[in-house]
Amino acid sequence: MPNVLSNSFRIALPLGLGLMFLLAVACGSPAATSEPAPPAAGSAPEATAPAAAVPQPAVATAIPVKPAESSSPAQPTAEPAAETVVDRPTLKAGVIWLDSPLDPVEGGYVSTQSAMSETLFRLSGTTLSPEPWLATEARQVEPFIWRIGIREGVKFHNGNVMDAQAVKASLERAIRLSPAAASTLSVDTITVEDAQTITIQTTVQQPTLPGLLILPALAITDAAAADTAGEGNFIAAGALTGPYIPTEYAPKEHLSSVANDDYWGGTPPLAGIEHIAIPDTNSRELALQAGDIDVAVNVSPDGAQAINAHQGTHTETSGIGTSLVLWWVNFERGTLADPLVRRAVAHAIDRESIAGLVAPPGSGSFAELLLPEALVACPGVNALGYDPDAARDLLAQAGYTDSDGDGILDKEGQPLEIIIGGYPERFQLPIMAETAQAMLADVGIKVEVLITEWSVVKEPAWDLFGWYNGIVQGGGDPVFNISKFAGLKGDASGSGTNNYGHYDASRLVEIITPSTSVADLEGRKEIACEALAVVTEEAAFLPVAHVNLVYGVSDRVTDFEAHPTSHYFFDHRIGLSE
Amino acid sequence: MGAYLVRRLVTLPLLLLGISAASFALLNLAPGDPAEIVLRQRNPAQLPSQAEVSAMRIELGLDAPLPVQYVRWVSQALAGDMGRSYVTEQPVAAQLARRTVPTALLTAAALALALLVAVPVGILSAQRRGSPVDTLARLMALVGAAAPSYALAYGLIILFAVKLSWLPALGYGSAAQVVLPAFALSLAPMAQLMRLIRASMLETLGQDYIRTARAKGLSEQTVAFRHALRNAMLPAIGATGVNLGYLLSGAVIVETIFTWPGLGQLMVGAALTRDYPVVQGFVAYIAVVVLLVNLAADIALRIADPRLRFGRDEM
Repeated sequence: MPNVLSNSFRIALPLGLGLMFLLAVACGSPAATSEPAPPAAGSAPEATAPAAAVPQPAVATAIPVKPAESSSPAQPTAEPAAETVVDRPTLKAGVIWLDSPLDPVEGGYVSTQSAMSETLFRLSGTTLSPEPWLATEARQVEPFIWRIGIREGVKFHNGNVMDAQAVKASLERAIRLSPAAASTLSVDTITVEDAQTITIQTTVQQPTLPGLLILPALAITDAAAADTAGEGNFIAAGALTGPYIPTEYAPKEHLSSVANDDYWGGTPPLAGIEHIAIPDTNSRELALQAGDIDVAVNVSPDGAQAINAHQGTHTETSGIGTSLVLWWVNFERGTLADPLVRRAVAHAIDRESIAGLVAPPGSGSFAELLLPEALVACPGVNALGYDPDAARDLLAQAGYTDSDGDGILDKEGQPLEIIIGGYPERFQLPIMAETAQAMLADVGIKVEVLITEWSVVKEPAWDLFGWYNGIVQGGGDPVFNISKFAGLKGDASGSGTNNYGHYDASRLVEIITPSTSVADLEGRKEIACEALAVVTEEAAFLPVAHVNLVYGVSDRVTDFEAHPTSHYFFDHRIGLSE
Repeated sequence: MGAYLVRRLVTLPLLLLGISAASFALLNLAPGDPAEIVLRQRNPAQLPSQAEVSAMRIELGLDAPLPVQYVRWVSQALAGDMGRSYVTEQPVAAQLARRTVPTALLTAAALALALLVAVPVGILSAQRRGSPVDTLARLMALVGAAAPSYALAYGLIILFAVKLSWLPALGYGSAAQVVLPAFALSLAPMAQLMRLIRASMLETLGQDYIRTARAKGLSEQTVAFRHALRNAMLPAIGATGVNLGYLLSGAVIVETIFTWPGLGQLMVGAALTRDYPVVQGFVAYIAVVVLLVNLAADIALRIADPRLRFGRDEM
């Protein structure tokens, strides 16, 4: 036997080892990736940019920065990382998506999520109301005019001072380059009052303007530096203000940053943050347990159990569920256009039980109404509850009987059949569809489950379509969020395009339209409750659960705030103990 | 051999054209509008208006009829321009080039591992036919062939990264990070090669010339390794070529689970976001690689086996 083995290895060994040798040689070069990126020729806008070059980060060598290749999408810093080593640790975070551009105006939510850019206002993690960030205050001085105070002592990463003029330029650049920003704000003019004050005049009344200014596309950037740096060279512009400075970005792979020691809010306790794109949820959860990352963004209920059972890791859950899982109701396919059938379906599905399955305690709660109570509480507005007998009565009133005794109701020879759609990327949606299928069968409704591409929602191929979406836009303004789901825009202009169910929102428009002149939150909440009563009564949508953001976190991580929205994963306080 | 080579090379472009046309058509049959997906990715907080979607379709060139889009893509690809990613707006060719190195490394490691195990165990199993060693080897091969790579990958991570903390669960850049994904990827070809080598070796060991060698008094090892092995390895050479193609293109799941920044991971992300230029570029690129690898395997087979070299092709 030993001879056999030794002889066979004579054949396999050279082959295998040869390949292994090549591999080892090849792997040797990536080892060099821990070296700081060399300065990219021509990348520093020293000659032409009005902005100074990015200041040399105080620390960087602890961050595994891969070298920028000439053809690489990674954007190098204007200057290489410093060569000194300090003992501040680098945090590694596993995130789902990492593909949006860094420049906020290009839809770049990544830089705000990653503590690299900041907006004038941010959403409070506890009240979901807008609170000053780079602004100090905002006051509506006239129906169409807001005066906004700008924080002193803020510098862009390139060292330029952020003052009122810079904020004006940044907002104007956003309006020029981002259609979403332009349509959200409806700005007429922006005027610099003094070094720390601007006024914004809008074309329509914007009673909740501070809430709209939380939009990541409106993060304050050094507009001149960003424009001069040009496409693909945004990092070199040093145009952001956050506690971490991006050093390298390979979309869908990783995003590296170093601490901004000149940060207005204080010196960050970390040397930097390395974001790694780990789209697979299981891999993200296991990487945390293996110690390869310190924070796993968005973990599943099963993963949360494993993480909490594992020594050295735990979960942090946002206090408020700001994502909504719901079914759109299709008003144009006939079956559910009948309000009796629609209400019957709402009564036949035990949505509270389903919420317990898809968002168990600790990761979400039953969504009786579209919006969570943290945003607006509406005593007296109640969803159509689970009541199979009421569902059967309503179906009988609608003319459905089981004429052939097959257990499926029918009318004029047509069986009562509906299609429940959804997409597989959100694990909640297939579970919802299959559970509802059984419940609806109980009252004589046949259900076909269609788990498919999410954009099928735009096609007339379903009766109910499962959907997962953030509901806290517009600075937590309840009116904005209801109108968004009703297919309207925040200004109730009716020009929104997400009315997938073709819901006739005319009653809603009547209720919401006066909100354009209502600035106080209580007044807007009253309008929101009135609107919620209408959409609930009409069974226009079937909300299921408000889902919290759940993070897997290493016990070494300090001062981590599980913000309820995905706008801000990290801030300048997060640290890592030894 | 020369005529054979020329014939194979001539058919290559035709095959590539067919593959790219089929993938282009299939991709466009899939539901989902890339223009809307791109806009939603750029601004997840707000759904795009119809006007924005239409403008984006024009910007991406999706307003042209499908055949026009295809011809445009082919002509650009022939000039070395495979377009830009809808999502990241980076050149597809550069992305493919950058992702090739990690995938090639992983493939080489997996193939090396497969050969290191499959060749000796396959031979040993054949020589000890019916023994406990043979039974164990065949059982391992069965498990290896049947185990889904994703289940194996998660199992390896849980055991070696989470429980034992011996190896990292993910990442790229060090030798330690290659081990788990390479093993997960190698198991299926390892099992296949092992069974193939065992079967081939058994068949060869039953040949007359082997009986003659034994009759001459040669030792069993000399018979096996000097006389039987070369013939027994012929099917394995062909299978290695096929497996190389499988490994290059089939690393999709393993790369995703181990966050290995290779072609497979690129492909998964692109497919989910309807990033047509990347998917189309990936399919064409992998098609070229697989066809060339298979051609190389065929040539190697002809060099190793004179019967093929002097066969009908050369007449």
